[in-house]
Amino acid sequence: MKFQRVDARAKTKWRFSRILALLFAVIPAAAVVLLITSAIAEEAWQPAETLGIVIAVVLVTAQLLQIILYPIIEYAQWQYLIAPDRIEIKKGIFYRTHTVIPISRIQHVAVTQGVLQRPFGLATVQLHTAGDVMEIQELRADMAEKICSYLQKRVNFKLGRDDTSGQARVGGTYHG
Amino acid sequence: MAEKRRCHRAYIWELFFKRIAVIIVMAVTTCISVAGSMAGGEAAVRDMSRLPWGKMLLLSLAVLLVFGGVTLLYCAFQWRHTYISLHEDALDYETGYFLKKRVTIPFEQINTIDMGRNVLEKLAGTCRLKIDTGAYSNTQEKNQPEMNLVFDLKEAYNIRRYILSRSEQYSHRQPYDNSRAIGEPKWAIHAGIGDFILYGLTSSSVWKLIWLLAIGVCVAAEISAAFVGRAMQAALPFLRDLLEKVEQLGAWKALLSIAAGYLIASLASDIVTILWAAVRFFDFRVARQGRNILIRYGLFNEKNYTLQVRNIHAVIVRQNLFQQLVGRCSVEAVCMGLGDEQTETALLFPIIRKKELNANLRMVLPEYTTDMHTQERRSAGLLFHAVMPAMLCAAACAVVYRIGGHWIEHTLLLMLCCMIAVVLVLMGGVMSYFNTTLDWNQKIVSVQSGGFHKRLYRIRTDAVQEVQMKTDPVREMFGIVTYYVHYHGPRFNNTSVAGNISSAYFRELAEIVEN
Repeated sequence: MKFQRVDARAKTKWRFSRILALLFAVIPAAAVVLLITSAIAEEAWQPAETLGIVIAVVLVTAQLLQIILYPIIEYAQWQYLIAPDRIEIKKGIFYRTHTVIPISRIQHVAVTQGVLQRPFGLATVQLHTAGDVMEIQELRADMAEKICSYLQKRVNFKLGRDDTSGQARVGGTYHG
Repeated sequence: MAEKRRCHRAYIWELFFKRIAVIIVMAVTTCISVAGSMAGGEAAVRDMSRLPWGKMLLLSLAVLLVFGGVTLLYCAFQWRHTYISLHEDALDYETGYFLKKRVTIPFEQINTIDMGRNVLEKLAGTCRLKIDTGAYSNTQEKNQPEMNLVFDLKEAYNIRRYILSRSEQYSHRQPYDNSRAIGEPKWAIHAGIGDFILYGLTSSSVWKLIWLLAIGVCVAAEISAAFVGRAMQAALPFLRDLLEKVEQLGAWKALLSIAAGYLIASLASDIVTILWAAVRFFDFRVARQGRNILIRYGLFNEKNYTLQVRNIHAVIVRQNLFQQLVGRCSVEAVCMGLGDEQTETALLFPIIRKKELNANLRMVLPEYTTDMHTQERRSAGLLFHAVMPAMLCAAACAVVYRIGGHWIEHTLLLMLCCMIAVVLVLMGGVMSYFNTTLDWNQKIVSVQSGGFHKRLYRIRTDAVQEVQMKTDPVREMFGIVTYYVHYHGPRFNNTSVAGNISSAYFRELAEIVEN
């Protein structure tokens, strides 16, 4: 069984959402920092202006890195595996997380599609357990639906609610 | 036994007082504000005296009487339309006339039966019967019990006995021995007043120790000049200079005064904690009765919980620094339907000897008694638990010292505080390194973590929902990760964390949980 990657369009979606964040949050925030620090420099402390410029440059550069470089690394890091008895999710750039969810613990499965996901035909599969909610993000919408229905059947089979559909899948692995 | 049972008439008065409480508060506030205005001087009294007080009083009383009467009638009407019916396999709870609500609670799903009694209920010979399934609710801020009614004490016992007998019959398909639920159970744990004194004394936070250390440094400075100064000065020239400088400072006297004030306040808080614990957990008793755990405690507000063992998903053993020093611990149960309300504490043992933990658990919850071998510690863990945080703290302290030195006159005090902070971080880290363990067998996953506040989670394997490991590139180089074990508890997102452990155990742990 091999880990699978999320849809390749995820990179474009991540970049698009981060460009929006750059335009509507990071640049205004940097401008506010520059305004405040220049006011402080005029009134009280001269080095404040330099400090303000450094903070603004760091903010914008970090966001530019988020747009240009991080989607490539993130795409390489984001992996998931749907095995007959468990789901595994690997994610993160600096802080890497590896999660294992036994299928028998899944209470229900949901598919969500955000405003920014819709133009790219992407969706998120949410796995609800009694203790937490885990997500497999940025999947192709039709694949998310397939995974959702497959997991529902597996969960039913594991809980002994639907033997026929489950038996057809015994030992099988989902291949997107 | 399917007839409708109405709750005790005391329920009418409870509803009534709940509803008119706001009116009473408003009336009292108005009286206070009028009295305040009259105290404003002669002119105010003259102005106020012109008002038709007699008529106003009569009118207010009439309004209150009418409002009170209508409310009382409404509460009686509400009581008349609130009842439960006990069926073969479920309990029906119905309430309301205009807005009807009917809840069917299958006996098998009932997690907690709480028979609490406050002073008024004791005087009235009644009992509050709470039934909780532990279900999450989106409409309520807190997880309220599904049923919360007042019954006659004898009737409440009968209802509980019936629910327990049906629940056990339903889940095991075997005749229930009704005699087991009758009479006083054999109490396994009986906490005395000495336990609560210890509980109160050891419930202090780590900040007290920080203050004690600060006081210790100041007192050592004072004493060193008079008694042991020469010896210390001869042995440690650096310390001699340091102590001399501390002595020259006027600030340390102020620090001593603050510390003395803090000690008095913390002593008072200790006494309050002891009294509070002694009153709240008065006559604390725990017993195992078949597949149920009975917990009873309380002086004025008596609690009487019945928990089903199958709904206990974990036990948490807590030890703060003082408790670690005196070898004591307190034990909580993670049980669906208990501990999800703000006033509820799912305490199993308020305080016991750590050495006797397994022996005590064997009497009440043998399912959680386990002798698991601890996996080998990785020495690299010490680097991330203690050395790196201490280095980061030292760097932060250096920055604070450098910047603070411009504004603060007594830089030596600042340096002392920084040193204490670094030492505490290092101490906490080393303790955390030795405390952190992760063990498992087919039935239990055991996660222990924390430095000054040590916590041991023994989680039932089938209650573990997912296991997670987190790492960063530096930790990954050393092959160590942080484990997150998410389990099913009364609140959403219950997690136990064990940091800086070898990543080699992850697959084995995940397999145990999957099976």
